[in-house]
Order: sequence, then structure tokens, then C-alpha cells
Amino acid sequence: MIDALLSAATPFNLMLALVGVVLGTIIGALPGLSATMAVAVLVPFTFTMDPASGLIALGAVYTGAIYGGAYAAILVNTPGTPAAIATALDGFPMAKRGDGDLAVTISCFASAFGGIIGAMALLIVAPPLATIALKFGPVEYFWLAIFGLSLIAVLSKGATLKGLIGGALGLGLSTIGSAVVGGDVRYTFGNPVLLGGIHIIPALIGLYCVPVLLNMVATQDRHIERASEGRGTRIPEALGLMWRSKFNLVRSSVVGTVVGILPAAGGAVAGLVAYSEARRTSKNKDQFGKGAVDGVIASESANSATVGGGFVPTLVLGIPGTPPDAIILGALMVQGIRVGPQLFVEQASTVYTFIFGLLFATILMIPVGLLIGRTAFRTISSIPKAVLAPAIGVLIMIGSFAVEQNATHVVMMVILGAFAWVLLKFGFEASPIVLGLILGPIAEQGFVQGYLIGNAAGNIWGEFFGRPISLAIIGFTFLTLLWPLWSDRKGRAAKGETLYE
Amino acid sequence: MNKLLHRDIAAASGLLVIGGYALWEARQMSVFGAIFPQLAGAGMVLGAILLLIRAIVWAPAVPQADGTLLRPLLMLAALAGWAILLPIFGFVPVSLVGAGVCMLIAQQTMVPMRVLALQFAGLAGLILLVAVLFGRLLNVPLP
Repeated sequence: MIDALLSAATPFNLMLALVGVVLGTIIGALPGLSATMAVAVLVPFTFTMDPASGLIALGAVYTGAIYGGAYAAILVNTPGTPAAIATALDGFPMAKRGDGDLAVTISCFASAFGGIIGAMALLIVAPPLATIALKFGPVEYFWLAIFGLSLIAVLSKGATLKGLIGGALGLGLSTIGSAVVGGDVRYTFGNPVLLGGIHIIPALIGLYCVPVLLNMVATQDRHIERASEGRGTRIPEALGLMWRSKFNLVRSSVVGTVVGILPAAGGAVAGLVAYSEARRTSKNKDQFGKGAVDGVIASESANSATVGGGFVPTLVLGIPGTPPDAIILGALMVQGIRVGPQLFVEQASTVYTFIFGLLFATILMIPVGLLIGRTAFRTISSIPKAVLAPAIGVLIMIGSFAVEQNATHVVMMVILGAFAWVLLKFGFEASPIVLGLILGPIAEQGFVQGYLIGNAAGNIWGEFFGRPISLAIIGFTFLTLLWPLWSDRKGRAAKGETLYE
Repeated sequence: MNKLLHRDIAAASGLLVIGGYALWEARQMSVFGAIFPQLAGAGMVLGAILLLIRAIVWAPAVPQADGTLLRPLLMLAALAGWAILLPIFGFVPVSLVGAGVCMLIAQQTMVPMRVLALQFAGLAGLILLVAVLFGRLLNVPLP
């Protein structure tokens, strides 16, 4: 293992890690360019490298891209990648009140911490952890999606009814196109373009970014506040806040690692689950959604932890945890490396060099992230709206187009954006719609497959309610829904208020 | 009378139409294919009915939106035109025009022509940079 550590620390590998993190951070920060695309674009450059170096470069790009998504989420209220959805919930309110620099710094440290926890899990306990992935069947995915959807009630405190309606709208949008099971063609109006459904990236850009853009030109206020005196990166303040939120940081990183292990769950689900848990256990629940530091810490540490977590089933079982993992798996096969349980024995040198390289890349993300983050904050907070609005316009156009090189996605993005803006005028937020849109297909596929399996086994109820992991997730879902009511009641009882049913 | 003009009534009416359509269309789907569309449609209809009742019975206070409506509508029209014309005239020319129009819409105060020219030059630089980044380096076939 020492040899692998030294091999990862060669100047060439460190340079690859640094360049990978920089490129990944920039690509991830651009709305529409996902971590998957960042990794896919750079795969061909690694074919001429030795396997460990190529893997380090791709892992570094992936790490940087997941973190880079936080910039757009915090500064423009548009998640640069789906993994940063939960970051926008509190990151942008922080930026609006003048703490954008602090939010960017906290997201950098939290991402680095989460990334290190994920990589350490990969280094130390990959083979036993990989078995968790095998225990997750369709029903567990169904309940995991329901758990994610329960977050709607948490996110829309004070407007629960509108939040639930938004979730139903998102669920409805997710059913457009061919059904995930059975192949029904739904709500396409005879238009073949809609057969593939609504792509998540143009939808994210439209639902989050277009309303921000339209509201930006409605008033003369600044887009985000900035203190008149330079406050730098506010590192001591950020570290102090993170120390106060250490349990949240560790828990969110573990949640991110475990969710990362589950194939197809990904950074978005990890961030949302960690955010939900952070809110449930926080003493300041009312601050969530209004610029709570804990929300940014939870989301960013969890989504970065999915990088290491996702490599666990990829390397041990050959099952990619996330789409970028699938691309990296392909790159490994091109390099002639056979993944599987024996990989950590037969190719120990390559694997451990890669894991140490991933750790170095995560650590390098701190200076890179702080530097790019400070520059991004100063730039976005200082340029006038008359330049910022069209600049965002350029980025959302190219971002929506680049996903699948499809001009229809651009039109769809604008339509969804107009829809979200009108809904916002009526008091409906974008986040419940996005949750429904992302989790709808996971829930539907899990439900239908689980029902068919249960029906074939002659025990549908047992299939849905008789498996230990399912029961644990159902328990957490109820806890998430009922905990705020219970804690409110307890708080009022402690104050001696009369309780009425 | 004011309760019948409550803002949520319009939202609930729109949701009833969308939810009703979702349920109507779901009738033609297979059993498994219809489960989630029916769930979503029923959620919208039920939510809309509750929203209607709440608006008529309680009429909750409505926060007022900041700013004007004209500029956002103009911006939306500009974005829609930009999106439609993108595949016809190509990314760079349409983006130059689109960004220029959006810049004019976003100007809240009168600024000297020199400042306008400088701002547009900056945007043109960004468009060219994006075109090179995506078209050349990332091999995205731009329209």
C-alpha cells in the first residue's frame, strides 16, 4: 500500500489530479454540463496513459465536477449538476443576504470532507460495502424514492399544500414519454420528440434558472448582495461553522457514501436525503430554506461522498453506481482491467494507486475550489444585471442544447421556465416539481417491478412490507414526516402552552 | 366577492384542467402504465380542490411580487425567440442578437452609448469563448 501511495504522489499523477480537478470544477459549474459529460469528454485522453494515471485523471475530473455544481447553485440559484439541487435551497438565500462568499467556502470544505470520507470507504471497506448494493431490489428503490418525495413536506413548510401539488406536477411531468416498464406512450401529443420524456438537465435549467433570470430584470435590486469591505474567503468563519456542525458533516458524508453505493441513486438523491436528515435533526429547522449553513454542509458533503461510494460497486462488482462510474468502467475495460471481487488482489497496485490519487485530488480541490469560488463570487456579485442576465441567457441556451445536441431541449427548457415562473407568481416553488420529476421514474420502475415480483411469488404485501431494508426506509420516511410535528408539539409543551387537537 | 377573485382560484382552475386531462388520457393506458399518471392526475385534482376550498373559505394573504411585469415578459419573449431561431440561424449569430436584446431589456437606467458598446463587446467575447469551448474543445456540434 505504501508503494501505491508513493506511486500516486509522483509529480505526473499529482499534476493530472490538479488539472482534472480544475477542469472538472469549471465544467461542473456551467449549467448543462454534468459530471457525466465532463468525464465522457476526457476519457479518450486517458487511453494513452497507464491505467492508474488515467483513472486518477478521470476520478479528479469527476470529483471537481460534482463540487463545481455548487457555484451555479449558490450564486445563480441554478444547480450546475443535478447533485447540487439541495445546495441551491440554502446556498442561494445565503448569497442573497450577502454570505455568498461564505457559502462557497463552506461548500468547498464540506465537499472535500465528504470526498475524503467516500474515498476512505473505498480504500478500507469496499468489498463488504459492495454487498449492500446487491441487497437493494426494486422495492427498496421504490421506498427510497418515496423517502425522497417525503422531503416535499419538509421543504414546503408554510406552503405544504402547494408543495404537494408541485410534487404531483413533477410526478406528472416525469410520466411524459415512453413508460419505464411496459412501453406505454404517454402525454406526447403525437410528437416523437417527447417520446424520450423530459430530460432532467434542460428541466433543471428551465425550472430553476429561467424564473431567476425573469425576476432579475423585474427590479433594480442587486442580484446577490456583497459586503462593501472585502471579506476574502472567510476561511476561519467557515471552519468554525463546520466544527459546530460536525455531526451533520459526518452523517451527511456517510449518507452520501451509502447512497453512492446504490446503483442509479446518485448525487441528487444523496444530497436530498442528507438535507432532509440535517433539517430533521436541526435545532433551527425554521432556518432551512432561508440560508441555513447546515443545509449547504449536508448537501455538499453528501454529493461529494457519492464519488468514492459510487466506485465501490463499480470496482468490486462491475455495477456502476452513477453514470460517470459507468463511463469510467468502460475506460477500465478499454485498458484491459477486469473489475470484480478479485480486482483488489490481482490489480492491487493499480486500484490502490487510483484510490490514493482520488484522495489527493480531493485534497487539491480545497485550494482550487477556494480560488475559483472567490473569483466566481466576486465576478457575479460585481457585474451589472444588464450583462449578467444575457450572459446567463447564453449559458442556459448552450447548456440545454449540449446535453444531447438537441435544439428541442432548448425550447423545452424555455417552456418549463415560463411554466415555473408563472407557478412562482402563484406561490409554487420549483423544488417540489424537480423532486417529483427526478424521483418519479425511480419510484414507478421500483413499484411496477416490485409488484410483478411479488405477484409472481404470490405475496405482494410481503414483497413491499416484509423486507428489512424496506421497513427501515419506511421508518425513516415516517420519522421525516412526523418528527417536525412531534418536535413542535414538544416545544410548545415545554413552554407550557395549551395543546389543542 | 374578493374571495372569488383570490389568486389561488386561478391557479386551482388551471390545475384542475391539467389534472383532469392527465386522468382522462390515463384511461387509454395499460394497467401498469396508468398507475403513476393516475396518481399524479389525482394528486393535482385533489390539491386543486383543496386549494379552491381554502381560497374561498379562508382567503389566505397573498405576498405581492416585486417589480414590473413588462420586462420579464419581454425577456421571456426574447428567450423564446432565441430558442426557436437557434437551430435555424446558428448559435453565434442568434446568440449575438439574443444577448444584445436581453442586454437592452435588462438595462434599468439610461447608460452612455460607450458603456453599452463595452457591455456588448464583453458579451460577444463570452459567446465566442463558449462557441470555441463547446464547438472545438468539447466537440459539441453547435447549430
